[in-house]
Amino acid sequence: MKTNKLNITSRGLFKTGLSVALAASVGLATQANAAGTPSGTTILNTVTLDYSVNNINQDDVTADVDFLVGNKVDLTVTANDAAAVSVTPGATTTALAFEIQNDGNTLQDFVLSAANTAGGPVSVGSTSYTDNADMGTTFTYYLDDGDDIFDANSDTLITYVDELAPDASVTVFLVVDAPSTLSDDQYAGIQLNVTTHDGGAASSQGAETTASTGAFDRTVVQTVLADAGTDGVESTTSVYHVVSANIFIAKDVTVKSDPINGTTNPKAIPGAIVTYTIIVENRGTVDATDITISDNINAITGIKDDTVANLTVNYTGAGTVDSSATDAGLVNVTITTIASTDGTDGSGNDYLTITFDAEIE
Amino acid sequence: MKTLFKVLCVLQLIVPISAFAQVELTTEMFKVVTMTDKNGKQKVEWQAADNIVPGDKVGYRIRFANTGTEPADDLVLNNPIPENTVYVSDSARGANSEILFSVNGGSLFDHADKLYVLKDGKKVKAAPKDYTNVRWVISTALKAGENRSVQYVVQVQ
Repeated sequence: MKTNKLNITSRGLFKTGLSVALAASVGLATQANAAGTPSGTTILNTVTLDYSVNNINQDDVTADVDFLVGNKVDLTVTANDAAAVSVTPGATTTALAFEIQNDGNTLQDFVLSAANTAGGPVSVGSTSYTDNADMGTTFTYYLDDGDDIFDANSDTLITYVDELAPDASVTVFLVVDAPSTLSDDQYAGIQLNVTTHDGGAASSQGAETTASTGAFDRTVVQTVLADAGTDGVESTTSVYHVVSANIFIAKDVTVKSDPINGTTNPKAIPGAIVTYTIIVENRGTVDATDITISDNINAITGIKDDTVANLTVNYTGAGTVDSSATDAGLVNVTITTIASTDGTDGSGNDYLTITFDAEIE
Repeated sequence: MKTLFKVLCVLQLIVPISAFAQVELTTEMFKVVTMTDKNGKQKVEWQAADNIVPGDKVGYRIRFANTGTEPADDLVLNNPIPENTVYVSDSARGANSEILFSVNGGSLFDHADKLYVLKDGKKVKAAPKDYTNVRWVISTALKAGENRSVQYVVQVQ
């Protein structure tokens, strides 16, 4: 009797066998899709009932119910740089790289905005820094051309990512001016905010995607914001590291001789010769170039005009040094490059001394 | 007399089919949500759907009612798992029924623990996600005026 039942129904089942076998292969293909079944896909459930009355098999009865798969909005925004990106004060084309991934099941636009982070801890990836500076406030964005290298000529200037498919990702560069007032070794955090907008119209920014409210309608694609904050907006931070030549300069004076004591314990009396020493050191993180050091001796009250003598520059670095003292008492020293080599130790190729003599009035 | 008998036989055959197609079938869908109560206990609720997106579970309740005047026997319900969904393990229910599954589009049905599929050339026990069809073989007659239901749950891929 049991076998009989199974035989009866299997005739009816064969009718759906082929389509179901195909369905299984489609199912396998969609399993590779991490974002899931595309929104708007119809999920149709069909049940078939086979039965008998008085041992006579009746026509099969079927019942259907279907619905449309909703739009599950989800996205990931990550900073691509492994560490803070070096920027020089005054630079206008230093980029931060980000990746935006559509983790949802619908083609979407993603609108970009950014802001300087507040002072305090800020991270890029897993590396943490302390924000203590701000970049400019005008942010521009470029869509990478595929080489992961920022180039304003070959990358495309955008304000939003257009028509990003489910599971697809893009690299976007953020560019902002570095104020010339920034100083060496400051850190400026930037937060990139990415907001989900409706896709479906190429080269046109859709409206912001919002969650569906109200009663369920099986025939309309319902939207669910499934990202971390359930708002369709995801953010991440990256960090600029200000690198600049940090020129340390100091001036000292000693009495070399006086008219009474000569060079033995000389005193700073009228007619005495004093030696000025200017020390210069690049304590920054990048080489400094085209340095000019000027000292107007005639402007110093108590120093006799036009008495500069024995101008000497002690420098072991690779830059070219030019020094002069004019009749008007102006000491000028120019150096093409001062390397940033060893920090603040007062020696080495990043260090130089300038000495010259002058007479007390 | 012989002719009358023949006519009666034909009538007997025809009458139940044409006049008493008596079992009505309806399917309802629900969103199946696992709730955690204040004691941390998890319970499954079948809710009216508000939206259904990938990852959500959908419960189907299939009602069958005998609206005729004769009992219906040998009831067998067959439900191919909808495309883009997978069967949720252990979710099929049905009183007085034997629940069978197929992994090949309904060519063969068997109990869950007796189904095998080929994976990397090896025959392995079928997982719930391999099921292509659910079948309920109802063991008792559905009396006139009686209604029952069976159910199962899928997860949207």
